[in-house]
Amino acid sequence: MKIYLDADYMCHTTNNGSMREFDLPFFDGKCAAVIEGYRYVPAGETWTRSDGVVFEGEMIAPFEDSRVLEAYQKQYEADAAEREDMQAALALLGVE
Amino acid sequence: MIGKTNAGGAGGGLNLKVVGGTSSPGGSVKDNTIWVNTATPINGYAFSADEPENPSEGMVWVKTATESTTPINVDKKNTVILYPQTAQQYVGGVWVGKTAKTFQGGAWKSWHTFLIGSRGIVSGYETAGQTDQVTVGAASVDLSYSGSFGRWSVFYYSSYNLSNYSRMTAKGRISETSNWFRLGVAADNTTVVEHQTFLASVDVTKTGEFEVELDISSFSGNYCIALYSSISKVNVTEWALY
Repeated sequence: MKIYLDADYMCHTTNNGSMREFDLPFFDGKCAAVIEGYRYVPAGETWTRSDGVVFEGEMIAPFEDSRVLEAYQKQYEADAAEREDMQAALALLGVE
Repeated sequence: MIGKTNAGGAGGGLNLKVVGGTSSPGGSVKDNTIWVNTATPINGYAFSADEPENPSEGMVWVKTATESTTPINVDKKNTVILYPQTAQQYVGGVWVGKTAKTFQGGAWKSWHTFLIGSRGIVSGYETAGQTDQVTVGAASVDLSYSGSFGRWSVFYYSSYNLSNYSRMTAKGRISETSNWFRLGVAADNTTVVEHQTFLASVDVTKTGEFEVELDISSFSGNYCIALYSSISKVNVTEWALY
């Protein structure tokens, strides 16, 4: 899935014109809220956390509370499943 | 369980002191002073392996184990050693992980946990993938592969509380790789750690000595943590949580 990286290695789903584009299978099937709660450090690059610890790529890790991201993804998947059920029901009724 | 229920402070005859605050105490600090990084006033503390029953608001629970980076002899005459490992504080009805340090030998020492280290390997681990390619030694773990299919092997803990830690590190050597060695976090109780199940990871793709770090500061609660070899031969000599 294509994501866009800002200068602080935070992931985005849209490009504001200044971001780098990466294609990361890790984010396949993930909702935008989850993607935008992650940081990705490409191989060969480093990111320094606010406490001074340096992390080398290739690293992918959330910067938002992981429990919140899990809740977003569960809701996204539940909504998708509900839409599929509705579409199947409509198809059965012959409604396009 | 060793503890006291009045306001935190000097250890009432014990050779330790527990203090709070958002910055480490300055001035003259005695050895075995434990500083818990918290803005919430400390109302008592407990040192125990198990969660205290009936905690009060503000209580600090120091989880003790059989090893620590700052073992404390709490008896002033004889030998009674506590091994503090992590600290939590009871705030708003829940236990909240806190970082802590012990003042020893003129310096503040961080608390961290070695899952694999010179003192051995923490029990409770599991293996997955080509499990016959995982060799657990006295103080190191070897991950390897064989054959042409399913060339991955994993050494992991399926449910580990990451609340008190902000980074995970691993050191070792890769002698051969056609893909990567990974240090990663997956959902709690993940029984088979496939590469697509990770929530966070850092990969090493080159042979030679390595030392990697993974940012786990956004993980609180229990998660599966893993060392994963994909078409690689890896010797891991240290795996730690800070």
